[in-house]
Amino acid sequence: MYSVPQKGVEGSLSRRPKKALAAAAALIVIGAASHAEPMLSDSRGTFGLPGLVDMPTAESAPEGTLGASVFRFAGALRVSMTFQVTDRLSGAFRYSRVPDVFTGGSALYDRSFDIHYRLLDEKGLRPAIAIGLRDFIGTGIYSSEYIVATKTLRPRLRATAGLGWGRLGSKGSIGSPFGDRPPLDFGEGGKANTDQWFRGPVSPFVGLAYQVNDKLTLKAEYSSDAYALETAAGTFARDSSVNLGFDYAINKSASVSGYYLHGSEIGLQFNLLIDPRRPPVPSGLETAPLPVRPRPSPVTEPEAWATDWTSDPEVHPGIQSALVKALAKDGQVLESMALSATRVEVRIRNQRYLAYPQAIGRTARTLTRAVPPSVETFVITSVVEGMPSSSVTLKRRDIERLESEGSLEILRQAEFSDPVRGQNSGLVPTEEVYPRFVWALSPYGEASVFDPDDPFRADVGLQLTGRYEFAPGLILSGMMRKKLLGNLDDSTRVSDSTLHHVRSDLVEYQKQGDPGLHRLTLAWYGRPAPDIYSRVTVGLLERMYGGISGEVLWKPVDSRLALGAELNYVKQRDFDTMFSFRDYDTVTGHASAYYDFGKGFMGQVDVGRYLVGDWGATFTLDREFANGWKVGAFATFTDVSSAEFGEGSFDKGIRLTIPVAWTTGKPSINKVSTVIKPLNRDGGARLDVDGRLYETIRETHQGDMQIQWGRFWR
Amino acid sequence: MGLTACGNDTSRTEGTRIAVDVAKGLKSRLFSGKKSPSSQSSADPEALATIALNSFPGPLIMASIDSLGTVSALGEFGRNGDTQTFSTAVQQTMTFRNGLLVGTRGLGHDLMSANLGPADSLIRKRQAGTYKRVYRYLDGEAIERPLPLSCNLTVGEVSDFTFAGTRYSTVQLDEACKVTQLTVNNSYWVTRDGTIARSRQWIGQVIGYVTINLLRSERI
Repeated sequence: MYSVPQKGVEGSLSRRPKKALAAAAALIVIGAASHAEPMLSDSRGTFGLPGLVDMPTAESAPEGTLGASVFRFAGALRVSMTFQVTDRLSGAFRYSRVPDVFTGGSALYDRSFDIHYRLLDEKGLRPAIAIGLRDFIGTGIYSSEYIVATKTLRPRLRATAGLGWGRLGSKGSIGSPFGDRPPLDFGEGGKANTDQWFRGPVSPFVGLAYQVNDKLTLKAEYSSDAYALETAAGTFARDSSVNLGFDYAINKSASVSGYYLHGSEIGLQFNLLIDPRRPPVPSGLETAPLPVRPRPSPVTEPEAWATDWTSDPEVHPGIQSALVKALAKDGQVLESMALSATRVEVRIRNQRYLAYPQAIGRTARTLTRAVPPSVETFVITSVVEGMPSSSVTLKRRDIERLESEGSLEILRQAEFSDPVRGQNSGLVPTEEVYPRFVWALSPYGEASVFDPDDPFRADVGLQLTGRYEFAPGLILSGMMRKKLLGNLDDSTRVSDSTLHHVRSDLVEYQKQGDPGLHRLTLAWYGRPAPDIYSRVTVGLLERMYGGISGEVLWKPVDSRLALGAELNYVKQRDFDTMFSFRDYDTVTGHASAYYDFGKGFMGQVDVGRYLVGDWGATFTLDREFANGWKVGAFATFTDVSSAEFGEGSFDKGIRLTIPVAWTTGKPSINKVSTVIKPLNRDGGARLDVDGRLYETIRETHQGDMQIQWGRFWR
Repeated sequence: MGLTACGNDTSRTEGTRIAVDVAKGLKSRLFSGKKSPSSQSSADPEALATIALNSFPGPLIMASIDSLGTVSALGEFGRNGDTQTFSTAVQQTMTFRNGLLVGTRGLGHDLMSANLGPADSLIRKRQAGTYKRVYRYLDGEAIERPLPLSCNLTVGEVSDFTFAGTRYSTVQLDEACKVTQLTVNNSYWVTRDGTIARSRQWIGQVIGYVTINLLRSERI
């Protein structure tokens, strides 16, 4: 259950008063604090996380910051994506190329994950201290562990000293305090090398970072990485343990770094830092809402408050058609309306505002201008995919009274409920809302990024989408693509999977499916009972599968927890991506639990049977921002052994959602989502059906609405 | 590139439209020596005021925002108790409570709401005082954040001026508000009957100040 903040605690929504202030005042510089402060830095090392050159520091990026960096030197390449998960915890995913070290002297392409945790903040004489693991579940080429301390000596000068194991203990070792480091059990990679952590030789490393001005930082370090593999392969000579570097900020989000490495090589790096809390454009570039129109006084104008209009058959349709027009200007579709002497309910489909409270706030203000004074109760019901999914009930006098107050005041008066439990009589559907047809012809791009033969391939072309809604919740939709140019079909990789190729034949679909009918489905959404949502989808469900998919979801409007079940019978589609099928069919499905942990963390567990008939579970954790940004990671473990799974051992990946409005400042409900998976294998593969219920309805429920409630009066 | 999107499903076409806008912006920046035609209307405020007065019968104000380089006439759009909302022709609004700015919409980085404390009654009475007031904004994550300020209102000089054909005899009141390293300086020119004929008021950290001149206070 969600609790509404109570009176007198306006500041309590903010995490800390100081932070709230900094946020409100946008760019006010808060002076250096005397207490323990998180040690932050925008300056990255060659592994993408805050650091010196190759050596780590105890610093963190500002909470929530996403980073990307590309580092090149001596034929090697490191492409890193980083995320500051919490104030203290940082994570990185890396795709790297190390020349000449693989079997037969070819380049090694490798994916790796790092974590870094700031244990202690700087306080008084004590330095900040952090612990970290590099490449802890990859194939291990960068595997190393460290404990590191960083101290601010002068406001612009920071010194770092640490101890490293693994690669970071390969030069200048001072002993092996925790025993020998067992050899790496290479296997298929993808397993945490726990028995190696903090074992074997340990070496000290030190360094300095000097911030010359706001743009330029200079760095020097004494490295404890011997680069044994690379120097053995002869790609460069390690003549010195001293590395030098600079970091130059081009603007708020981009920087370049240059290095003089190992006494023999030049390195270059480009960095991007994105803070989801700092949109590139001002937010709110939109037409202003209609102001509230207050009612005349019942004392001086009692006749205005009469209710005899209820017997006039012209009033309801007249008000409804006026509202349809007024709401359409705000991107809201009035699906139906019920009007009595004291209560109005409008069911709206929001097509413009990312934050549902904004759609509801605007609808409420529009209602004050449209319905007679005696109507005191406003019920605004959000409809998604034809399903009424939440009602917000407001008193008209509160809307009049609180129009120019803080948004928490009206939140305390708002009641959230399930419309299926409410009065459902008297709703008059708006004519001409159904049937509804929308279509679009737009460009598309598709890229393949982790193929060792050619790490970047792409196609571009045209896609045609169409959507026909027969009635609320009954939707025919499809998507077709025609490639115009590209080289995805140059790939000569053939799946080496020993399992049935339920996903790993993607290249065949890319080669043969042009033009391709990616999706053609008939979906039926419903509300069979209070708190219950349902979906049945039949047809060509996705690029590789067709069949039937059914889903039910239990999600009370005010609940942090949701439970769902999905069952699918699917047949694998032919590579030509048209109407024929291959000789493989399966039953797949999951029971799912979704939980809103608060503070922007959302978890999901799906347990069930995957496409190749394997049983297991997928764990997903998302960090969500109130402005719609989401950064998440998932991992799937099934009864397919890591040997059967092949490279990577299990399915895992990162997902990212960016609202379009964040990049333009203009209102839009659209989002761009992407899933980055290092490998597309056959174990732990899920059906990719469109319109799953939880994501479809959750933004209309109390939890999401409360977080975004600040936009009610916008 | 001849690639653009078409269709009536904005969820599919918006991305292309943005990409095209960005490309056009880049192109004009790279290949054209001219600046893009921004809204830097160097129009004479008095002339603009006359046009506005002749075309709109209701209450009117004139607002100029230095940081945006805009001078606009705003007509009354709504009235709710002691608040009054004015709108530009393209529906950007400013809301005032007894003449003091309590909200803006459609400008970007908008002032969401404000609690005035006793400020409005002191200003209209042309009296000095100290009090607290609160401005509210949406932060980068679109969460509402209060910005509480401690204010000191002082009575300044007598000032007579004419704007758009009306002569005003006013006293200037200066309101200095502080929080940590931020100082806000609002000024109000108030007539004997408590009308704020001119003011310079803070919208927020990013947009800065707006200067407001009263053109007409009641419907004719």
